[in-house]
Amino acid sequence: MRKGLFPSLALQNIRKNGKFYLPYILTIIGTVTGFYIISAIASDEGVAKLRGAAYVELMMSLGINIIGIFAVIFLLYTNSFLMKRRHKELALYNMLGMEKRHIAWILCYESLYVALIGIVGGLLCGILLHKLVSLALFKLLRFDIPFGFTISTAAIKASTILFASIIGITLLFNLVRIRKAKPIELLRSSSAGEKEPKTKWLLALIGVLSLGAGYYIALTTKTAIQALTIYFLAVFLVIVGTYCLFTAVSIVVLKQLRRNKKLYYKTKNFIGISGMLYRMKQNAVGLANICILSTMVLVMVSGTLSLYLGTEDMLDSFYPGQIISEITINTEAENVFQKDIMVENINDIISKNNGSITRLEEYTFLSFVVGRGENYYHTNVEKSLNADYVQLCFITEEDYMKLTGKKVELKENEILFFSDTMKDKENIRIESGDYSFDFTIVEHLNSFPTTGGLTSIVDTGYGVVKDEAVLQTLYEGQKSAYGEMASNLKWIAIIDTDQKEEIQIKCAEEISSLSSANGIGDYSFLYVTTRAQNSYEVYAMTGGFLFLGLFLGFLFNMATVLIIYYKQISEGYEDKERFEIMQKVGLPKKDIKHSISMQILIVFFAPLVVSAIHVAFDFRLMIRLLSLFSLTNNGLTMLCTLGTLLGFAVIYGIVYWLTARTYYKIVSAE
Amino acid sequence: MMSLLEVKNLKKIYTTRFGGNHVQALTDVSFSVDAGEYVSIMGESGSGKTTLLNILAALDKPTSGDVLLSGKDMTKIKDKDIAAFRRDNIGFVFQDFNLLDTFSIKDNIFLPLVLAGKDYKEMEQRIKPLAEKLGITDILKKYPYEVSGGQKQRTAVCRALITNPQIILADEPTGALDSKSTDQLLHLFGKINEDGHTILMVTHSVKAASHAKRVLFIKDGVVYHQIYRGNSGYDEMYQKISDTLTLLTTGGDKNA
Repeated sequence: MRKGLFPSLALQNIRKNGKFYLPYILTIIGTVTGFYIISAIASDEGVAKLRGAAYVELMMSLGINIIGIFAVIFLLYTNSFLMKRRHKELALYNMLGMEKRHIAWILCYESLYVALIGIVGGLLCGILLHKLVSLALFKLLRFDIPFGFTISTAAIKASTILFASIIGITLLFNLVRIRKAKPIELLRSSSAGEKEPKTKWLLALIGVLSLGAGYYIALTTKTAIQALTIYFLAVFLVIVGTYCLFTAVSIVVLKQLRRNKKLYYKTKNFIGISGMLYRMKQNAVGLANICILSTMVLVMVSGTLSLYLGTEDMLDSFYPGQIISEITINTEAENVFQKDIMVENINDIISKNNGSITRLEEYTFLSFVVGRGENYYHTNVEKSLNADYVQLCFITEEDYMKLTGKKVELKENEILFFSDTMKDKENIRIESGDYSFDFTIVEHLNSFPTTGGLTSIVDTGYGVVKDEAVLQTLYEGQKSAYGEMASNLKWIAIIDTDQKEEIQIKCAEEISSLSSANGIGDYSFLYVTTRAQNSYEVYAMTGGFLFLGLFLGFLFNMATVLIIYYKQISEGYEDKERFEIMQKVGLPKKDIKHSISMQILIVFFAPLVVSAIHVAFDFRLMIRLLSLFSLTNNGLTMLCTLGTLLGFAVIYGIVYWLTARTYYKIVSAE
Repeated sequence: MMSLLEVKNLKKIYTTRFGGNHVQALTDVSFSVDAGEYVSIMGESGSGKTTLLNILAALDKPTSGDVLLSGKDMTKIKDKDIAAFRRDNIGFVFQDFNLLDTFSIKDNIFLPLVLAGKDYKEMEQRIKPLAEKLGITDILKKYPYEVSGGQKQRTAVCRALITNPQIILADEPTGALDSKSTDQLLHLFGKINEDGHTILMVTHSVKAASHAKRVLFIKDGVVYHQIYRGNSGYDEMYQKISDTLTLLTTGGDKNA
C-alpha cells in the first residue's frame, strides 16, 4: 500500500470524528496538565524548604497517586466508548479490502497523533499553569511566594511516561478487539437490538438494604472515633447501594409504574416510562458513576473548604493565646513549683524583649479519662475495651473566678459541672482506685472558660472544685488506679503580648528554658508554644487539603462532564430513529421536544439529586470527623456544603444546557 | 362523486443545502383515488415514488400542486396540526416495519391511540377484533425483536388500522419479507380492502402490485401509464404489469 496513506488516513479519521475525538483529546490534555502540575509542585525544591513542607509533600504525593489511578481508569473508559462508535467505520475499511494489519497501522498512527497532541498540549498547559497554580497554593498555605519560573524536567518525564503507557495500553486493547472481531460483527455491534431489562428483585433489595444501612450508620454515629472507624464501611455501603439503586431499583419502580394502565397509557408517561426503562439498562452504571463521582467532589470540596475556612477557629481552640506555657507539675518534688515566681519570670522575659503582656490567664488543671457506669464514673476502664469513655476536667474555684469574673463559694464536696449528657443529674460519684468521691452539683454550667488546650474525641465533663487540695486528692485517686498511666496536674498560662510574631517566638524559647535555677521550683516538664509558629503548620495542612480537594474536585468534575457528554451524544443517535418513527405515527414535533427534554432532565439530574441526598446524610459524619480537627463550627460547615452544592449544580446546569442542545440537534436532524 | 384522494399537478424540486443544485423529483403528477380503491404505484428507483408517498403522508411538502384528502388540502395544514391530522386520517405500513423495540407488540399498536389521548378501555376494545383478524393475538405481549418479519409487518398493519384511517399508505410493505410472508400479507391487504379500506401502495414488486385493482406507473416524475385489473386474475395482471414495465424500460419514450 502507498506509503504515507496510513498517517494521512489516521489524521483524517481524527478530524472527521471530531465530535468524539475532541473531548477525548481534551481529557488527555486536562489530565496531563493536572498530573504535571502536581508532580512539579511535589518535586519543587523551593517548597521543600518551607515551613510545613512535610504536609504539602504528603498531600502532593497523595494527589499524584489519585490522579494516576484516575487517569488510567478514565482514559480506558472513554476509549472504549470511542471505539464502540467507530466499529462501523473500521468494518467498512475491512470490507473494502483493507487487511486487519492495515487497520492496525491506522489505529497505531491515530494513537500516535492523539498521544502527541494530548501529551505535548497537556505539558504546555501544565508548564504555563504551574506558576499560577503554585501561586494559588502558596496563597492558601500562607507561604511567602517565591520568585522565578521553573520547568520541572522530572515532572515532564513522569507525565510523558505515564500517559504514553496509558495510551499504549488503550491501543493494545483496541488492536486485540480488532483482531478478534469479524467484519460483519463490527458492522452490527453499534446497532445491536436491545432487550428490555430484566427485573432484578434481589439486587434491588440489596440496594435498598445497603443504602439504608449506610444512611443508618451516618445517622446514628455519635462520636468522632466511631465516625472515623465506620466511615469507610458507610461509604462502601452507599456506593454499593447507589449502583443497585440505579441498576435494579430504578427498573423495579419503572415496571411498577408501567403496570398501572391508567397512568401508563397517557401520552407523556407512555413515551417517558418506556424510554426511561430502555435508557436505564444502558445507562444505569454510567449514571451511578456520575452520582458517585459527584458525591466525591461534593464531599471533598465541602469538607476541605470547611476545614480551611475553619482554620482560625481551629487555631483558637488549640492555641487560645499567642504564647502558651504549660507546666506538668511534679507533685513528689521537694522543691514545689511556684506559680507566682513563674509569672514574674515570664513578665521579665517579655519586658526584656521590649514588650508587655496584654492578657494573662493562668490556672491549674487536671484532666483524666474515666469509664461511664450507670450512675457514676469509674476507673476500671481497662476491663472493658468497649467502655463508654468520658473525659473529666477540673479547675479550682479561685481560677474559675479569675477566668470568668463570677463569684462562687463552694464547699469541699460541692461542684459546678458542665456536660451535655449530665444535665439532669444532681450528684456525681467517681470511683477512683482506692478513693471514691461524691460531689453534689451546685450548678449546671452552660459553658466552661477553658478546654486546657485539649481536643476531645469523647464526651467531656468539666468541673469546678473548691481548691487545689481537692484537685490534689482527685489526682491521687486516679493515680492510685492508673499508676504510670495517670494524668498529671498541669499549670497552664495563656499569654498575649504586644510584640511581633518573631519576637513572641523568641520569648517562648526563652520561657521554655526556665528551670529551678530561676526559683520556680522543680517540675516534670515544661512546654511553651506560640500560635504564630503553629499557624504555619496548621495552614500548611488545611491549605494543602483544600488545594487537593479543589484540584481533584476539578478533575472529577471534568470526568463527570465528559461522561455526560458522551452519553447524551450516543443516546442522541439511538433516539433519533425512535423519534422519527413516532413522528411518522403522529407525534407532534412540540411533544417530541417536550418528551426529550423531560427524559434528559431526569437522566441528568437524578444523579445530582441522589448525590445531594448522599451529602445530606454524610453531613453528620463529616461534622464528627471535622471535630477531630477541633472544628465545631457546624454553621460554617453547613454553609460550605450548601455553597459547594450550589456551585456544583450551576456547573452541572451549564453542561446540561449545552448537551441538551447538541442532543436535540442530533435527534431532530433531517 | 368526489374522489377520496386527489393529487393535482404535484411538483417537487430538491435544492442542495447551499442552493447550488436542483433535483427535480416530481415534475407534474396528477391522479385520484376513490374511496374503497386498492391502488399500486410502480416505478424504478429514482422515479419519485418515495417523494410522492412522503408528500401524500404529509411528511414532506410539495414545491407546488395540491393534495386533497376528502376535499381538505393537506399542503395547507399548519405545521402544528399536521401530526394530529396524520394520526387521525392516514394509516402507515413501512418497508422496515418501524416498530419500536422499547414497546411490546401491543404497546406499539396502541402508540397512535395513546398519542391521540384515547381511553385505555377503548383501546382494548379496538385491538381485540383487529388482532384476531390479523392473527397476532398470541404475540401481543412479546417484543418486536422476539417475533418474525411477517408478524412484525402484521403488527404494523394493525397499528395502521387501529385509528380507523381514511386511507392506508404502504411503502414497499413486502420489501423485507420472505415469499411466504409476502403471500400472507398481500392476501391480508385484499381482505382489508374488501372490508372497505382504501389502500395506496408504493412498490416495485410486480407480485405485490398485481394484487391491486389499479396500477399507476411513474417515470421521471410523471404518471406515465395506468392499467386496471378489471376482471382479470392475479396471473393475468402480473403479465400485464410485466409487459408494461418492459415497454417502459426498453422503448418507453413517450414521444417516440
